[in-house]
Amino acid sequence: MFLNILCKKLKICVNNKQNIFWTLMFPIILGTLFTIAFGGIFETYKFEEIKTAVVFDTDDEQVISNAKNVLENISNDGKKLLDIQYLEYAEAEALLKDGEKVNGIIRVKEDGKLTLDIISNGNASTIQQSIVTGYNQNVTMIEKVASEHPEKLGEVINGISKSTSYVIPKSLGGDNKDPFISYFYNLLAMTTLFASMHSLRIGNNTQANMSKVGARANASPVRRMSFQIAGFIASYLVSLAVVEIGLTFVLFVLRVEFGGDILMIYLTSALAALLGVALGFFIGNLGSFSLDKKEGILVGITLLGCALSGLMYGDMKIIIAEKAPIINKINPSAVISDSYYCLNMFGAGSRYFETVIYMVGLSLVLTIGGLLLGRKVSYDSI
Amino acid sequence: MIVFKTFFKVLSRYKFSMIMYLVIAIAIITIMSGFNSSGNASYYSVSQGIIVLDNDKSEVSRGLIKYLETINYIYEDSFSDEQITDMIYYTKASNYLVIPEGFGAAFLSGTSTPLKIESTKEVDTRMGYTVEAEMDGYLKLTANYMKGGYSFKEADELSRESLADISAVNMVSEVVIQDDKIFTVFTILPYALLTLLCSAVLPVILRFGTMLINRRTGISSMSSAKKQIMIALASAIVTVGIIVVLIMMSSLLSGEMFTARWGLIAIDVLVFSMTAVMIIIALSSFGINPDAAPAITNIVALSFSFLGGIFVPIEHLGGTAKAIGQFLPTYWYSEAINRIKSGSSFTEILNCLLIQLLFGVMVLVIGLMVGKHNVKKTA
Repeated sequence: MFLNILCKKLKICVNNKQNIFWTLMFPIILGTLFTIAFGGIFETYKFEEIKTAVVFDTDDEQVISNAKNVLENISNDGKKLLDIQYLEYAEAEALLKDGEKVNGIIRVKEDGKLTLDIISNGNASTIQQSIVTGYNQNVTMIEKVASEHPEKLGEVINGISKSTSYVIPKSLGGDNKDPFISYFYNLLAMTTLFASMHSLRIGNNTQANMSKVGARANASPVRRMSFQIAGFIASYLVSLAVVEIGLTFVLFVLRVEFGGDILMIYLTSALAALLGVALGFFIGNLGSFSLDKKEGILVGITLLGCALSGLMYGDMKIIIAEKAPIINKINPSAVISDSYYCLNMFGAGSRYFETVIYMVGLSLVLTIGGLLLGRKVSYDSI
Repeated sequence: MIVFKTFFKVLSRYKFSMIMYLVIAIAIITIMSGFNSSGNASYYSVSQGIIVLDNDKSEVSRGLIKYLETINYIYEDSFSDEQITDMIYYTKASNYLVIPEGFGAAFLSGTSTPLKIESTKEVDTRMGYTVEAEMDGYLKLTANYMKGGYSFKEADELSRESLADISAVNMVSEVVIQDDKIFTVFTILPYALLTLLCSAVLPVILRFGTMLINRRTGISSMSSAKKQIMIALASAIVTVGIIVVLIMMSSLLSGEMFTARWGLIAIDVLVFSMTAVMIIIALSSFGINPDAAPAITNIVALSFSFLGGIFVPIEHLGGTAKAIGQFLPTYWYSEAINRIKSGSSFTEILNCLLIQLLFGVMVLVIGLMVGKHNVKKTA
């Protein structure tokens, strides 16, 4: 009998094409738009030689030679910092103002010092400023040492000419360090939680006072719990299929690199779908509100959770981690997106398993809670 | 009047989701209003977050940290490896610096092979390089001052003073871009507006358009035109209410109201609202099930916001995103805000406003045509 009910419930879920369509549309439409919007942003974060125009406001060969020598050889971690073009000022100014084809103009002055012309603030301008200031301060220092400790001048000039570095650069671990990938983690979290819509109706459809289907189900000799469990399993199977199809689209059609083991990513999504279905099941059995109200509560919880985990604003999660870390620990959306993040940055380690334990634990609590809430509801009696 | 009253009766069913979207919008606006956008009125060094683990605790390491602190934000608390990775990944910090024990002693000895500071950063990021350049600049200058016969204390002071001197930098832009809070707060407003309209007005209009309701109202004595006018009037009142609440809220958060630029921004918001209403009316003509409203809300609001430069500034978006974004009203709303930032007048933002309206009219016409086709098909 149970299998019979399960088949019927599965049919009902599959026939709810609108639910399936919209749940699937989240990763497909928004995933595509996210790929278009964020596809190239991380590349702009990467360091490239800063396009810089150098203009000589002096004819002093010594000054020109010193400036050229220093500016052309400035590097960090073996990478040259400046991409230099020697130009006349008018030409350089045109390039600077024409869509910032150069990021700044370094002018070499008669007194051997440099000035920097820029039109906007930013990392590139800050690096250029630190180069210009450093160069000028070396000139000032030479003048100061020459007047106060002339015997040390040779040593200072020798020190300036040496390219000593005090830094050993190290790279952050992890597979994909693009922070914009977290938008896809949150998108998947939203998809799995919106899959809860599949299980929301189970509660109302098993209560005689909530729907006609519920009244018919209660009139049958089958236990209410059988209907509920069958409905839960059917909803989970449909949600699982929808979520995994969405994930496949994001991973293989959009070619988004989630980072981490692919099998683990699919398993994580399966657990996340379970959490989503359990959430819908619990709210569906919560009280005797209308389906609209329950839907409102579910959408509210899901959306607020997704907003707090960074779906709209990526840095939200780290801000919450600083201000109220407990929210990130209990917010289902944050936990789901964190599980993908853990797989990417740390692999399947202890932090990842913490998220798995949370997902399984909360799913169990919500499912059992839902079953208990819908178990012994009594209606009018004589 | 019955249609008008019923509109609000049905609307009350969506008050929970309206409050929820309003809370989300307020949370995002409040958090984002805490960040400054990049103005160019004068030069400033870009600040980075730096996590420092000082194993040396010498005067040299303290001097270096003190210097870095003048430009950047230093985190000196004890963090786990995972927390450090989180902070760098989410760009809260650009570098994790480990100053080794004995660094100060080696530095003071003037050795040609000094102990080095380990700097962990996201591979190849500009932010990471900026901090490393600042660090190297300070240490080299201090070391050279010491070679010139100065004590570390003197050299440290001289270096910090000289590196703080930014008089060599000239901001040559003819257009001064302001970076006040009002722009950040109002930039995010279309998201709030779209979500509130899609989650409140759209499902109510859709409910009126469902087959059974439509048939029932169709056989009533009230003419279809009167019914449509009542729905339009009720929608307009709700929309005006939403706009007033959002503008008031944003003005309070930004601490600015009734200034010339506030007026221009308010006009931009009003034009965008009109466009948003046209989008809602067009969507309601597609015969969508009202239960799909939450899904549509998210898809429309998020896609319009991401491609229109609401959450991520337009200049950061890729070429394709910018090209697509130009076909969306949110893009032109953001563009108008950017122009107001640069001090543009009403005539200079007029084309942005007209493009928004044009988009709305186009979508409305398409929607009405689809609606007419659907009615014919049903008949």
